[in-house]
Amino acid sequence: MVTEFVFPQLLRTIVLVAIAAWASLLSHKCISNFNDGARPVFPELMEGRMTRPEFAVVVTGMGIGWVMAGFNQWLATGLIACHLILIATDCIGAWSPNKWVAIGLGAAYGLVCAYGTQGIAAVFNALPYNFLNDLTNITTPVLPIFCMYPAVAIAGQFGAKRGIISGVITAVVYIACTIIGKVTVGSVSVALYPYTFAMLAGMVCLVIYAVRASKKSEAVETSEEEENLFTKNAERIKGNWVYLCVQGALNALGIKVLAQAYQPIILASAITGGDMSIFYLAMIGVIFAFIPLIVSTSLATGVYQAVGLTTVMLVGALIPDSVWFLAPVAGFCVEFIEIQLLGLLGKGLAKFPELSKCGDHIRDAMISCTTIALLIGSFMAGNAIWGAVGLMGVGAFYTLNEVTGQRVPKTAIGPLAAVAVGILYNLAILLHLVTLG
Amino acid sequence: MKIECCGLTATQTKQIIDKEFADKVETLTDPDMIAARKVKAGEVDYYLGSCMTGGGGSLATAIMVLGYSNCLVVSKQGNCPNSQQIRHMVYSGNHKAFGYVKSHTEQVVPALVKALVDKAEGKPE
Repeated sequence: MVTEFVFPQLLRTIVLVAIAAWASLLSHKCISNFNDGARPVFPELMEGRMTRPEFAVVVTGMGIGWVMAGFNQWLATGLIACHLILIATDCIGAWSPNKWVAIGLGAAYGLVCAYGTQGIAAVFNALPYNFLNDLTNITTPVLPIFCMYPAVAIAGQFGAKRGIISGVITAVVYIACTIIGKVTVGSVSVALYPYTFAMLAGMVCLVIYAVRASKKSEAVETSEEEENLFTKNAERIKGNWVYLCVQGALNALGIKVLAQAYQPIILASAITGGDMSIFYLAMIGVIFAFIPLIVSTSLATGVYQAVGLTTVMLVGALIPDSVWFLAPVAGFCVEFIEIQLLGLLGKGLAKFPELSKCGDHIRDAMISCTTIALLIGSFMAGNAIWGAVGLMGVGAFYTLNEVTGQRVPKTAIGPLAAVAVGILYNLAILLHLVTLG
Repeated sequence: MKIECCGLTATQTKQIIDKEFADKVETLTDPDMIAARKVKAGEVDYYLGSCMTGGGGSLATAIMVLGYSNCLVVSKQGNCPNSQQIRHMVYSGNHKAFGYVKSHTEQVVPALVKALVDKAEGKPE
């Protein structure tokens, strides 16, 4: 859990409000949105097949579960996640009747999130038993399990045998790094942060298998009709470059000053572990994995992703603290380059569909790893709060959600259950059912 | 009947269909770009896709190639329909592509394919 921030609260609040207001405006104008699932609905509004209220209902319906997931990520990490802000601004922008309302409501939402999270933290402090600290257990298994995502992706795409080999290599590299510890070459000493190198080893395996497979795959010709649609939508996105580059600048600044976090679970683990290299490395995997999804949904609709191809997040985080004010400049430039490359990336993906399948497998592996890690972490948190009763509680909430049709997303149910256990524990204290030791 | 299994849980979808509908359905797992084109050309009957949201990555390519009106979001985050509701969705529309949340694969796919098979055989809802 991240509790100490380098940058002051006021700066972070201002940046967050700006991000939320701008994202809400861009969603209202159908320029960009964050929820990849809702993006294919935008053309329905743009081309008049849906009215704004109809459209807003669909966008909200697809988003509400994710806002909750974002809130959970905040509970587990202390960082305000993109999901908490940008999925909500998708909906706010969709409902807003005009652009001024969109900006106003977006800004207000940003303000509520910045101070609301503080308020909730204060509530936790006022409880007889503050279990916020126990909740940090939720992220404990994340890095060890997430390191294995390349091996899981390999198993999914290239078979279990290769997956197991890569998994063993990953584990061996991890153990080797913990034994060796530091490498000194001349006067330079490099600490071998084991998670970073373990994940790197897995990613190298993945690249080797993917390159081998892509040699065999055949290129496909695109039809003229699709090419026209691609070109038309790529032009629309390019035409909005000023809006989008400002958004890129805000996002880069947001992650630099930690007003808003992307991949907060890995980011928080990296910050508390004191080594950001694992986050940078993870982001390279994330960018590669999301390119097929974001490029295809953007070119199919003419609506861009609110965080672009997520490269602004990596670039923003890479800017050193002392020159933090350069983050927006870097974000602006990177977003501009992305937009120019969009058409080219789309053509590449259409020609080599195996590559986009590769992205699917990586994304699936990342999600599977974080889902199981959060679930196990939630059990650990439940155990830390209330022992066996806590384990029982988290297990009950999880299975109940499964049999009733997963009303709460699978990634969110664990942390939410752990919080419920914490609240019940406090109730039990108030009722004198348990006594604090 | 031929069905393309795409998206994040393509392999799992294929396994479920192969196990339960081996005699009635032939499954394919082409990359989404090829799969959607095959459906458009009429070589394959239906396109099934899964992603995190049910309607984004799962259907993006299908929407682009087949058009929005031919695609149906079967399940969304936090809302997985039961088999009766899925059956009703299939019978009341004429969709070619279906999207669902990846963690709903086990619940959605059997009901969805059963409905598609029954509808093709002319059985009542």
